[in-house]
Amino acid sequence: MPNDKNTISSGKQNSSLSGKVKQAEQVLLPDLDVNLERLHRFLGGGEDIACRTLQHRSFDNTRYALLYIDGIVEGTSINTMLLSLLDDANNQYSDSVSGETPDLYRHLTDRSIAIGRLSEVSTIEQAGYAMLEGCTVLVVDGCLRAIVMDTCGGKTRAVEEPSSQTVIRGPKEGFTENLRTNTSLIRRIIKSPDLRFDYKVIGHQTRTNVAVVYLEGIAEQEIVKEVHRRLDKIDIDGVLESGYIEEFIQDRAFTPFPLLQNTERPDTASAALLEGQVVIIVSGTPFALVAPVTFVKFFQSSEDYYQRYDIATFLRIIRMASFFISMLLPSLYIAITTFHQEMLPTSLLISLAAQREGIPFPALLEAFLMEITFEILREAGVRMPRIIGPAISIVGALVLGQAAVQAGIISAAMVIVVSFTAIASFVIPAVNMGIAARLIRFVLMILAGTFGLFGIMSGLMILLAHLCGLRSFGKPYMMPFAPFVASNLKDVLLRVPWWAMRKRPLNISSDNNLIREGTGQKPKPDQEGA
Amino acid sequence: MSIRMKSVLGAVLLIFFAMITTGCWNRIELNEVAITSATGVDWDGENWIVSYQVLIPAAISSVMGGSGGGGPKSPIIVYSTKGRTIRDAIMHSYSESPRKLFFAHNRVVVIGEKALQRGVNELIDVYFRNSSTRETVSVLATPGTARRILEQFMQLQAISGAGMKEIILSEMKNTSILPNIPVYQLAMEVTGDAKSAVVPEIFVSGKEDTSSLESFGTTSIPSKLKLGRLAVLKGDKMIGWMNRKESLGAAYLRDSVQQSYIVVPCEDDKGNTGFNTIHILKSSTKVIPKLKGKQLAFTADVQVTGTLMESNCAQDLYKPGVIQSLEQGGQQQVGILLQEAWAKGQQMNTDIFGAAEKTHRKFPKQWKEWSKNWEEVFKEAPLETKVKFRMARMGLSNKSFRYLMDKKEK
Repeated sequence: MPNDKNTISSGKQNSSLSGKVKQAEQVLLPDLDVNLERLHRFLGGGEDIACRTLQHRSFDNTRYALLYIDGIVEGTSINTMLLSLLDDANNQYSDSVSGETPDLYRHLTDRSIAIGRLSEVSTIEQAGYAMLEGCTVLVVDGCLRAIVMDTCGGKTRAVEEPSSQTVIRGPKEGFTENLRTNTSLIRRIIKSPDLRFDYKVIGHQTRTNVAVVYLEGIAEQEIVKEVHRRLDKIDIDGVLESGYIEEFIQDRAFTPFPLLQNTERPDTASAALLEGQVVIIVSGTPFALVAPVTFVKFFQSSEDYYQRYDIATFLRIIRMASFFISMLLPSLYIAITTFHQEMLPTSLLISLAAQREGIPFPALLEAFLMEITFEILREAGVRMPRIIGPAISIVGALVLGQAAVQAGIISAAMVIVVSFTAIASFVIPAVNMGIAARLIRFVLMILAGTFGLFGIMSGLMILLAHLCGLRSFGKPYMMPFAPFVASNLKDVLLRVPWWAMRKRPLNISSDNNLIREGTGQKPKPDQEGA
Repeated sequence: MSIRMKSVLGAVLLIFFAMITTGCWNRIELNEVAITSATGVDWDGENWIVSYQVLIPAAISSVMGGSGGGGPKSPIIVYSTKGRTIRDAIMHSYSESPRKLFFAHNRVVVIGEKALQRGVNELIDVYFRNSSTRETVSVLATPGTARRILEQFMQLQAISGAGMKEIILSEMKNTSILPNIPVYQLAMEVTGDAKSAVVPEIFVSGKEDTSSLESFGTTSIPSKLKLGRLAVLKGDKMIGWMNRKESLGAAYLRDSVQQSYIVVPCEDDKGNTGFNTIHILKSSTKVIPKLKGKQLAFTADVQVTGTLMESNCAQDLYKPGVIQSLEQGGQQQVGILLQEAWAKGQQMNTDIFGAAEKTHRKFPKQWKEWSKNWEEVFKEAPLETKVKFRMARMGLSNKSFRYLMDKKEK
């Protein structure tokens, strides 16, 4: 049985112990009972700690014990292993076997344990942390080492369709909370020996497993190093979601714009890997982080690459337009109706003016009221128990659509503006970019209400300057516009056909490995056949 | 919190409070403006009387959309103010209107004959000096008072100010007899070399006014707003009218004909007379100044393309000769139009055709001499017309029905 030294569990052990546990480590002693007692004490002696002691007939009835924490181990593999161990323990081996080396430890690792992945530890801490991961520890009396068997398992959610990033055409698999499932999902898509998984443990208490995934040779080495450096700097007691990590490793703290992409989809993550980006998978959340990322990435859906390029291009333009609508429409409405009435066609002006007759509030306040109402409704829709959903939507539609207008509090045009804005904000595939637009919308509304279009323009200019100053892992956020990279434009607003995207994006992928497909693959009418 | 953070936060707060406490610049809500659709300017001998046709949005949307209960409400309201200057008069509106007059959506400015005779300088100045008014507003002249024009309702269009603009635009596009004169063009013509301009006329056709909504209870309304003649201005003052025929000729000379029509008399083999109506699809005119000895003369080079719309003669339009005769008839008619307009212009002693400008460009040296007494020079200058009339199409049927009938009789 090959004993791989670089198994996950041993890797985790090393990284965790080097930093977090500083006091003198307790070495395993020859006495089994002392070891078991110390291990129990280390783990706080909960009821879920299972301990099974065995004796081996062939080795002078030497005692050895199996320890694991119930519930986080895979029951079936424990049972099969126990069966084979018991079978082995009752065997009386002939002298030729036992005569070689009467060492129970070697015998167990080499001949008897029915578990694929083993490693060994020599301290109580290491053994205890391994058990917390879901491993089973086998301690042999009189032996200074313990065997760690990878039996991680227990109840996890099955792979389901992603709930927040849906597609019409494309794979329906989504990441789960289980790190191993997630890495396997990527492994299954990219069957390359160059695919690298670097594991880390972040969080003193939660000891969350984090995997840094990249494709050797395609990802820029500098960026991989930088990801490692930033992750290693994180010093926190717990990581419950990738959002914790995102806030620690993003390039700038104060910005409404997301500087890392998150995805629930293995195919999106794989596409990012193939373009030389680094994916950070965090145990306990289906949302993996992707870095470095540019502004335009947030308007791309994985479906863009599965659909035909013409509709994909059209949809991208629609999404960009929706972003601007959701950011600008209320402020433009305020600015034009209160400062620049001359810009409206006369008939529209009359119709708007007729609606505004008798409305008690200025347009700015009116817009604010409606926007806030909508934000409340949206938040209620997310938070409320699913069962009362229809009730909220009825109340929302009545309050927003009908009653406010009929009562003469809100003009009908404002309802149209707000609802269109809301719908547009849902078009943006990345929720975190939609949130950015939502926040900026309110700032722009105040600017529009005080300075008109002039205010909006100055707001947008400041925004543009801010965007151009942003970096994601050192890469300019507004690339390929600023700095201008012409070759990357093939996959920004446009999505050119696959046979025309020969190169990986410049400045994201490693410079040495940019070609991803052969030339001359454009389909042509078959001349020989005809 | 570092000092830098504190100062940044302080600055943000200051800007925020500055923005919300100083009030908003020139913010004005839609229900605080009185949208003006037409303005009228009259002169009573001492004061300017400015009239405004103000929209009532709620009434209009109930007229247009049908909703909104109650009886019929007038979509517009007209009122006037008086002042020593035009702006003075407008300022007086603040003392009688609950809302601020808003001129950006003004479509037409109607000038009464008396005001037009006094001069349009002040009006043009008002339009160019203020940002709230637009220079694309169409100028119309009226023989009576401008206020009466503003008071009229119009068929099909609830806002008669907008309707007047639509009439003049469609008239210019389809028959080209009267030009649409925006304020900026008036200003350019008044200050140009010729120092003369034209303004189309609008008048109330009919004895009674259509200023009550009750008129719309019947299929015909007592009076209508109609475009009529062409007011001719010398300098900035009006000196007279040109009738519609002359103004069509003037339109050819000013090269402002987009589409028009012309009625050409015809005669068939048997000697029956009738008329052909030709729709003019394209027309371009070049008025070229020439020197004949020391005397200035002009050549009008007109190229017209037309299509036959109606034929009342027994003609076989397969024959090239017939078409040629049609073209000759058209040439003759257009030539007559041009000459009549030119003669009228000379008689009124104003150069509304832009001849002065063209002369200035062509003979810059002599212009110095002529510009001193351009009126005299213009009065003496003869016009030679060279009309090239091309019949492009005959319509869908080639032989006229009169021709077909005559053939059957045989």
